[in-house]
Amino acid sequence: MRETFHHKLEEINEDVILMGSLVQEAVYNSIEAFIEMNADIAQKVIDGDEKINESDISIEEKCIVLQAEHQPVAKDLRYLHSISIIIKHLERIGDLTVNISKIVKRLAREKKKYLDKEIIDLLIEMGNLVKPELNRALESFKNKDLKLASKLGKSDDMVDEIQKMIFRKLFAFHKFSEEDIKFVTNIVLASRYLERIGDQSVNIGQRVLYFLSGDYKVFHDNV
Amino acid sequence: MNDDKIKIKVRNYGFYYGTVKVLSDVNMDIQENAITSIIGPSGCGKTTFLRTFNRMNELLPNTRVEGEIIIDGIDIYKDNIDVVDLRKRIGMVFQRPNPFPKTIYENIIYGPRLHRKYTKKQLGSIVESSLKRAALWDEVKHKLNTNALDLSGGQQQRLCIARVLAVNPEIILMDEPASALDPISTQKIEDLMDELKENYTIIIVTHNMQQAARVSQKAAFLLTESTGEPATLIEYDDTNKIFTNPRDKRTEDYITGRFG
Repeated sequence: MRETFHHKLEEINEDVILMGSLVQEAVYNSIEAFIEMNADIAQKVIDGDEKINESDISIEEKCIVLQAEHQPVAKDLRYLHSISIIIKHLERIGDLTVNISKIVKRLAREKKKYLDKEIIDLLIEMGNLVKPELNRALESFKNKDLKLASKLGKSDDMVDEIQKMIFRKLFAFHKFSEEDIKFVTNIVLASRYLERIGDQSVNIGQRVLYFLSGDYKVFHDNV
Repeated sequence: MNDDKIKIKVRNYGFYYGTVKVLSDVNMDIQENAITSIIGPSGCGKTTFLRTFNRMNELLPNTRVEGEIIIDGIDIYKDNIDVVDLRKRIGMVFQRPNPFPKTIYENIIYGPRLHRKYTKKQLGSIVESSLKRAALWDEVKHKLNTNALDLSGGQQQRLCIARVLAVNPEIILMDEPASALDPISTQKIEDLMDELKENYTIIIVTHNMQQAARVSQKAAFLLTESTGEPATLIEYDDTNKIFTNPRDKRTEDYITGRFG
């Protein structure tokens, strides 16, 4: 019975890694769509979200069944419990990429008059900070790497700062027409979603830290 | 639960069957008014350890204890200890319910009457209060004179607990008290244990890991590491800690089924 349990645990592990790569792809594509204002890539992200949502539900179900059947304890319990939460963070990241992509679709046809080089550079930089954060979170999960998981969140402040800079720069423009306001607000929102992806990645890292160490303090230190 | 009060101190405890040492170097403090569970693989000496606390092992020939078992400051293996009195203070519940083939009433009054004389009224009130504390009163109050063996397994086990309670013990030892019972009776025994811990110190041996996790506040893990060697106490800690984040890898391997 215990072998069956460990086999099923391994299966769930593979499912989470697969879900992680789907989310990773969505993040990369939504950032590219955002920077390029590319509606086609945005649509691809939106279409791909269903698969992420399905993974979430199917993994959650497997976790529940496994817990009911085997009443895991110690690291197995921490692991299954953490997975149930990690997949919610992944699913949420998927939703954020959809939000960004919907904004891209809304704005793509409009003149990119506010997306000057400075703003685009800031968005690129933000993407360059957020992407590795997610990669690290997923890598630490995959390799059960305590050290890597503990490194997450270091670029958080910088991402926050860039997001504020984007906000300030966009609103530094003179008088806004109604159209301008819609455009600028959407860009600010999208950059905010991007920042949230970074936060969710840090949350994943904390869960990895918890199931590896068993130390609940990780959640208290970083809030 | 009283966090501070220690009821039993086990010091450098070891146990021999003949020349074979089966338990070695056990040191632990057992809290008063709490449930302490003893877990470990079959044959690791859990029951032997449990039977140490009321000197039941002495009923077997060629056994020997080393170290100290100190209850309320007194080593129970000192010569001047009255074993009958000790076993009155420390009751025991066994794996299979073992009521006497007598009436429910007689089962309960058997223990108290060994120790002193009571009036009929006093005995009546002992029967009622013991059965109430064992959560059996409502089910049997109208049939106290029927044979105890007519009760269901779960009821018989609660009767055995009532029988223990009738002599007003301080400590209750339970050796797999629910392993022969169905889930509903098990639930009743576990609920009962939870209530009893307010007034008694309980030590339970169980093979059921989830039961140990559910009912006990402290858990001790015993293990024989290699054949022929005595078992030792590998880890002793808060039950929550043992079942979510044990310190010792051997404990982790055992409770998660990665053993061997």
